[in-house]
This record gives sequence, C-alpha cells and structure tokens, in this order.
Amino acid sequence: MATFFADHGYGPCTGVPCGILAPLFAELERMPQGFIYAPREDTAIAMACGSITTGCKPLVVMQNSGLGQSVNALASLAIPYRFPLPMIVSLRGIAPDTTEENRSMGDLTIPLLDRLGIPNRVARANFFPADLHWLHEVTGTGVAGPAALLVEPSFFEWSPRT
Amino acid sequence: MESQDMTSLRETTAVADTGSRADADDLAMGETSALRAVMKHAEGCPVVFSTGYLCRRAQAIRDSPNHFYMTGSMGLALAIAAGIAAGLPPSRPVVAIDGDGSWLMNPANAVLIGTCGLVNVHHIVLDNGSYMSTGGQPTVSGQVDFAAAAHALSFGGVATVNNCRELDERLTAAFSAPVASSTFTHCRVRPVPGAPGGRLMLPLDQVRDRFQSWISTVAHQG
Repeated sequence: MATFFADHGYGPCTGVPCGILAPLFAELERMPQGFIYAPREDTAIAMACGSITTGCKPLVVMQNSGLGQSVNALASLAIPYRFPLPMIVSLRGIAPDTTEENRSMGDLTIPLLDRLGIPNRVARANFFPADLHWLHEVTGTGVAGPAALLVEPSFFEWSPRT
Repeated sequence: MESQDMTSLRETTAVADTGSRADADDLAMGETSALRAVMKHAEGCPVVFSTGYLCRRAQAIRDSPNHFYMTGSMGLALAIAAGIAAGLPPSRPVVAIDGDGSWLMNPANAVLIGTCGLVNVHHIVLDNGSYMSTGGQPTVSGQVDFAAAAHALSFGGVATVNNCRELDERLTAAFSAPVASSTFTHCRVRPVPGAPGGRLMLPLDQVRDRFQSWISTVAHQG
C-alpha cells in the first residue's frame, strides 16, 4: 500500500496511529517521504491542507475515532475550501471489534462521511490496488475535496486479542 | 469579575515592568494597530489568519493574495502554516496569526514545528483576553504563560511584547535575520470594540485558489 503512495509522489504523509492500520504505519515510516505523527487528527488534516497550497500531495491516515475529532476541520476547512485531501480511515467498532468505546463511531463513520458529502469506499483485501487508484483519482481530478478509503479490522487481520 | 481582576493584574504587572506613564499608554496598543504592524512586516510572506474577526480585520486593513483567511476550524491556523512551511524552502518565512482563544483551543499544534524540524514559521498570538467574535467573553489567557508554553512545545525563540515599540523590534529581528529558527511572539493588545470590517469578499474556495496561485508564482522563488 505504502509503495503506491511513494510511487505516486505523495507527501507529506501524516496522521495519528491506529492498531488496525499498524502495518500500514510501519510501511509508511519506511518510505522515503517518511511519516509525520501529528498530535491530533484535525491537526494532521490542517497541516495537509496547508501543504496542498504549495503543490504537495499529502495523505492523512487515522482511526475513525479521530474522524470524530476531525469533523470541524473537514466541515469548515477541507470541504468549503475544496482541498483535494485523500484520507485512509480505519473502522474500529466494526466486527470483529466489539469494544464498547468504538461501537458508536463504527456505526457512524460511513453515514457521517456520506452526510458530509465525502466520497468513501471500504478497501477490499483482494482488490485494494483498485481502491488505492480510486482514492488517487477521486482526489486528483480537480473536483476538489476530501475523500476517504476505509479499512476494516479484518483487512490487516486485526483481532480483539491483539 | 474574575476576568477583570486578571486583566488588571496583567496590566499592573506590565506597567511595573516598563515603569513609565508613556509605556503605560503604549500598553493600550489596540489589536488593529498590532495587526497592521504584523502585516507590514509579513508583506510578501504567506500569512494564515485565524477565525472570523482577525480575518475580517485583516481584510479591512489590506486584502492581499498572500493572505489565507481561515474563517472556521478554530485552533488550526498554526497547523496550516506548518503545512505551508513544510512545502516551501526553509528560507521562505511563513506567518500564522492567532488570537488567544484560538491558541488556547489547540496549543498542541506547536509540536509540529519540532516534529517537522521547521525553521521558517513565525507564530504571533494577539492576546486581547477575550473571545471578541462571540461577544467578548473572557478567555483564561491571564493564567497562561504563552511564551513559556510555546518554548516547551517546540519554539526556539519566544517573546512577549507589551507595546508597539517592542512589537516592532521583535518583528524586525524575526523577519530580517537569516532564518535560523521558528519564532513565537505573544503580543498583549487592547480589544477594539465594534465590527472588524465586512465579511470576506471571496468565497472560501476562491480564497484558497488565489492563495495557491500566489504561492506557485511567488513563494517558490528565491
């Protein structure tokens, strides 16, 4: 996955870690552009938006709990200013993740993105290169705005025991 | 009542520091005067303005393509500036202007300066002790040592200024020196009552388009 972003000139890559996405974070850290860990997900979104004004192609990676933290950054910055912002967002609170603290955000993630008008799709383990291309295309067509590729717990074989 | 007490305490302390009636008058530097001074020093630099009133006041003083008016997303101006700085050569200064309420909302922004090793960000907080755009409610700025906090979070060079002369000296040093470290300036100002000028003339996507075009033609040079 990370190779795709390196090959397509993405950077800075920024965000806040998530257990479901831990293998992706490890890959992104090893890429030439590295990974910038931000203190909060909305801060990562704002930094990414700033970098877009200089011609960069940033990537923001986060857990869906951080999407909750980021609603205002999306609603009042990324969307109205039309920043073409690709995001990878995990889906905590979706089976087999039954942790109570993540269940509400798990239920809310896709409806929230839909109501914000943010294009989104769930990454498919067997077809993820196509899903990465979708994210690349939808934020690179000039119809600017954020888009989200969602990653279920099973994608990187996350289990409640980890 | 508490906020009045804090304001009095802060002013008393500052006057005692400077020690003269003339400086006490200087302390009453209005936020518009301070903003005008910052804009003058930051001419030709990308500038991110935080939230409604600061954006409107800046636009009323002088609208310019190098202005990024961040009308919402309170607390994120420095993060935007950090993203801009990360994409430009270290020799290009980038400016973020916050209010005290915006700074208090998200001081953690500042860790990006250290994390990204940015040496070209100048963060200026105009502290009027109140949330002006929502009716002048008091902030807790009087309880907080902004400069010490900014230093602890990442900024190498920090200062607090209390009058026009100190602000001018501070900004002259920050903008004329060979860029060696990002700076933080806490600027105590007097709130200016009344409307800050009209709402933004441009739709927000055009604010971004204009700013981005300006960056592509100007800021990458030199």
